[in-house]
Order: sequence, then structure tokens, then C-alpha cells
Amino acid sequence: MIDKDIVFSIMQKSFEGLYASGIIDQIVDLTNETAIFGSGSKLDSMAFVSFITDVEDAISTIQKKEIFVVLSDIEDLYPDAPILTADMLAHYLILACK
Amino acid sequence: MNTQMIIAVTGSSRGIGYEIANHFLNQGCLVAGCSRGDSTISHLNYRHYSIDVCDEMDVQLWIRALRKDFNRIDVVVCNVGLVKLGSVTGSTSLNSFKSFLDSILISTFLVCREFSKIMMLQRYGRIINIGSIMSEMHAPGTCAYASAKSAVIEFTKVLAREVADYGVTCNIVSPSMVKTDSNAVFGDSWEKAMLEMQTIKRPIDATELCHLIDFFASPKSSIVTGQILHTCLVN
Repeated sequence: MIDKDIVFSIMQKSFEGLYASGIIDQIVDLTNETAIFGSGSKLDSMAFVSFITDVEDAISTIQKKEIFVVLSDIEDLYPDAPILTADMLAHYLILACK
Repeated sequence: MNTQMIIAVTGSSRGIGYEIANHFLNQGCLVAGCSRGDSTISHLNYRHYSIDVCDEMDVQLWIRALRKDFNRIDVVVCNVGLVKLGSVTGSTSLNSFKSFLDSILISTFLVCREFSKIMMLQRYGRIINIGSIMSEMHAPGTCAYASAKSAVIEFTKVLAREVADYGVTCNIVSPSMVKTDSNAVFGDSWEKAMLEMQTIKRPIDATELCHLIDFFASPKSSIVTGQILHTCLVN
């Protein structure tokens, strides 16, 4: 059963991979408030695509189920949120796995 | 390491897509084709996926399967489109209009969105969309088809800008009237009227488009993006 710790671990690993491959220029220590998309995010469009693809692949492998991140579904969950945070993404992914 | 070019072609079971798929197979490429039905191509280097490119989940699963099966995709030719009789705007139903948008514009958006992601990550790719001379003709009875094809042009140009920094090009081949089974439904008088509006006054064979696609698909064409290659002028 996937939980927030697992999702955070996957996201952290993806950030480390992006840093190691030079796609982002500074390491990100993930917290609930870390901006994934929107103002304050360290991810440009390339890094965002890479990050989401990493996370989708890792979670699909663990769950043995095809999981896709649909940004509009996250917006439905958090209609007034100005940015997508790590906590929001983790919550969405846990719901998607159910 | 596999150094063969890997080409994805939508709508590969018939018409233009079928010819494009066979053209690349004859060049020794690996081809991943798709259509709603079964494969009509039997070749060692061809793999068929039965999907509906208007269905978001189908497209996402297809691209995920391609990543697993091939690890990379060099070129995608987005060819799917609805070819059926249209009518003047006053008698075009909303459902009919939407069906053209779905089959032409939405399918192009879904396929390009997913392929552009892989291509950005691999920092290389060639996206080739198939347009139509109809977007230049403004012919009565094509309000849905021509509008959808025009939208594909604008979409391709926007995408070209978005992915240019990642080694991915996006271009359009815009054929004049092509001889396909689907066009037969329009009848001789319609065909004659359309050909009268073209500089090249004969239907072209789908195979004649292949070297235009080769140009955009070539690794040497890295400086060409956001462009339309028309086969002829509209009179």
C-alpha cells in the first residue's frame, strides 16, 4: 500500500536524479511546501516533464497499475491553490492509487 | 545498442499512414503503427498497437508501451483524420463538427503531447503532422474539416516553439488531394471541383508524400521547425 513516505521518497529520488544529470542546478530537500509547479518551483518545463515521468513510472511499477498525473484533476482537488506543492501531489497520487 | 530509426505512425492501417509506414519499413526503420483496428501490415520490423488516438488513456498507455518496447522514438507522423462528407455550415450538426475536431485536432494534441514529452527527455525528436490543402481553400462544405486542419497548423507552430530548445522539431506536410479509398465517397464532381482550385490538377498518390516526410524526419533537418510544406498552391 503506497503512503506519503513512499511518494516523498520517490519524489526526492527524482530530484536527486535531476540534479545529478544537470537538469536542475541545486539539490532540493523535499518538504510539504516544496513548490513542484508554479511560482517558486525549481523545475523548468523540461525538469517538470522529467520529474512527473519519473514519479509516474516509479509509482506504476510499485502499484502494478498504470498511474498518470493529470494536472486538471489536482486543480479540482485544490481549486484555489496558486501552486502545486509536494504535499498536494503526494495526496493526489495516494488517491489515484486507490 | 539499437541504431535503427524508430518511427511511430498513427493511422497506419490504411491510406496515407499505411504508405508512410511501409515507406519507412522499406528504408530499414522500426515502425510502431497504430489504428483502431487490427494491423494491415505484416513485416518483421513493424509492430501494431490497436488504440483510439482520440482517447486520452489509450494514447498515454500506448506511449508508455512504446517507451518500454523501444526505449526511444525518433519520429512521429501524426496522420489520423476523419475523411467523410461534410456539409455547409448551416446544416452541420454540432456532433458532426465535434467529430472532426476530435479525430483531427484532439488526436493530434494527445499524440503530440505525449510524444513531445519523451522527445524532450531524449533531447531529440521529429514531430510531423499531416495538414491539408483544404485549410487554404475555404471551400464550402469544409467548415469542420478545414477548421480542424487549420488548428493543427497553429498547434504545431506553438509546440515547435515550446520544444525547440530540446532538439525537437515540429513541422507539417500539407498535401493537395490524395488518392485514397476514403476520398471515393465524395464523388467525381466534387473531386473535379477541388482539383480545379489546385495548381497540380491531379490527385496525388500517398507514396508521393513520403519524400516530403523524409525531409522533415531527417536528422539533418534540425534547423527546420514550425514550417508547412504544401504540395502545391491554391488557385
